[in-house]
Amino acid sequence: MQIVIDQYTASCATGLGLDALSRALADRVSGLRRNDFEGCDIASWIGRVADVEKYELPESLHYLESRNNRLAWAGLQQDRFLESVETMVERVGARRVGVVLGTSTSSIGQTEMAYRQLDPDGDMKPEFRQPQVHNLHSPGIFVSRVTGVRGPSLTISTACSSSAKVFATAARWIRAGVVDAVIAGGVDSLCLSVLYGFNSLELVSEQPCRPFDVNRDGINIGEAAGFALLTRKDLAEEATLSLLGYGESCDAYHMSHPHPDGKGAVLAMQRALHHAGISAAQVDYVNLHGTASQANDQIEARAMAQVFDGKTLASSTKGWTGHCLGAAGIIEAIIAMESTRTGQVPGTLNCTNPDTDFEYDILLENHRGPVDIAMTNSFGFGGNNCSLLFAGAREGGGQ
Amino acid sequence: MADYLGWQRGIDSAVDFYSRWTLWEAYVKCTGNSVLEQENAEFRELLEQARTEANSVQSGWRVFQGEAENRVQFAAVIRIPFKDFVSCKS
Repeated sequence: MQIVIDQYTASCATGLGLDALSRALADRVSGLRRNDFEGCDIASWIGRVADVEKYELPESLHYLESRNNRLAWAGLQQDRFLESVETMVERVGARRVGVVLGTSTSSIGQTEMAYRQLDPDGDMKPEFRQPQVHNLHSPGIFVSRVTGVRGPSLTISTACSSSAKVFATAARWIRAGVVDAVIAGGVDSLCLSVLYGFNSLELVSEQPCRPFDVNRDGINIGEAAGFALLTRKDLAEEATLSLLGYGESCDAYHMSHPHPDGKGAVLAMQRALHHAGISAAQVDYVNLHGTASQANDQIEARAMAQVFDGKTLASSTKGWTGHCLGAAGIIEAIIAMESTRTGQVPGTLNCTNPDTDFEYDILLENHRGPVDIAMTNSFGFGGNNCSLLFAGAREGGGQ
Repeated sequence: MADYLGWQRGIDSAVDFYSRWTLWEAYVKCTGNSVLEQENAEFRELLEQARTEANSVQSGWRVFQGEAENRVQFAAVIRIPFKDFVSCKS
């Protein structure tokens, strides 16, 4: 059964919607800025989405108030995504459309505010008594409520692979006949827990991040919301993009460090290729996880060299977006999808002096050429790995 | 398949579905991410094992499933790779 992407949208530090992202990638204009997140004095750069605060939720959704849900609200309104969902609901019925979202920290920023603003007796103020917000499943609840879909709704939280794994679960739901279409996506917003948490791990750079550069010294935290509407080919006759394959694995090695040989990463990529029934040589472009941390970039390059012969283009786009954690998977999946649609392959922003120890050559400058099949890698803490394969109009197919 | 997994109601009352789906996800990953579109006897056996909390390893599978907290499901499936495990045990 062929799973196709009927519609998609991405909002991140480069702006709201696909056009903003595409322009920034083409013009090599980063969305990163010096850390100006309220209440955070860490010297770093961040991928903040401008004006999220201004996207007020409608009154009927005030009980779900949080920065994360405002970001989701802003993202859902781009690229006619809500209209596409509405059309799908008209076609198959609300109970046949599900929701699978990825996030790392959900609306924990709202929980932080609730604790900072306890009343004099130490109790939570009434406006913060939001059981459906102080909850990992908050994005799933929010998107189900906004869209009115009545199919199953769940939220995956496997750190930085979260919103890549949503594609695999969505495809399994559709193939199992649980639903006919799925809103898959990810929403993760900046919050103090994440900014200070990664800073405590000494993983945050004081400069704009430099993936795969010999002088890379850490990541920049970003935020994003992205969504894709997946369905069967016969329900989306005009869709030309397909989810060709997916591979999931777990290192079972360390809480925060990838396996030194990249075993889990290799397994995820190989499983995706096996699932799609293609060889590595057929993949034209890989959007790498490429966080700019010392460990990730070295080990991901090592893993790439075990799977690909060196001819497949590979780059990291974290220099534009920052590391959007639980929303990184969907944003980079969309960048991979866009490359198959437009033939525009982004290079690796801020990498001026590539690490010569790496076993795989990274694409530095933007490239233009046909991309029939693109892969995206997402590797998270806990050794959670996910690789996805997308095919453009010329390939299609898939299992 | 949807009915078999228990998806018959709205999103607020489908605990059975999420429980069964969590087990299905664990099972699929234990089978090397096979593309499984239909129920099968093996999975039916796992469901039964989870439902009855049977401490059986006769099939070569062991299921750990539960609700960590309200509406938070977990499932772990262990495949015991010894073909003659049952006879060894007995």
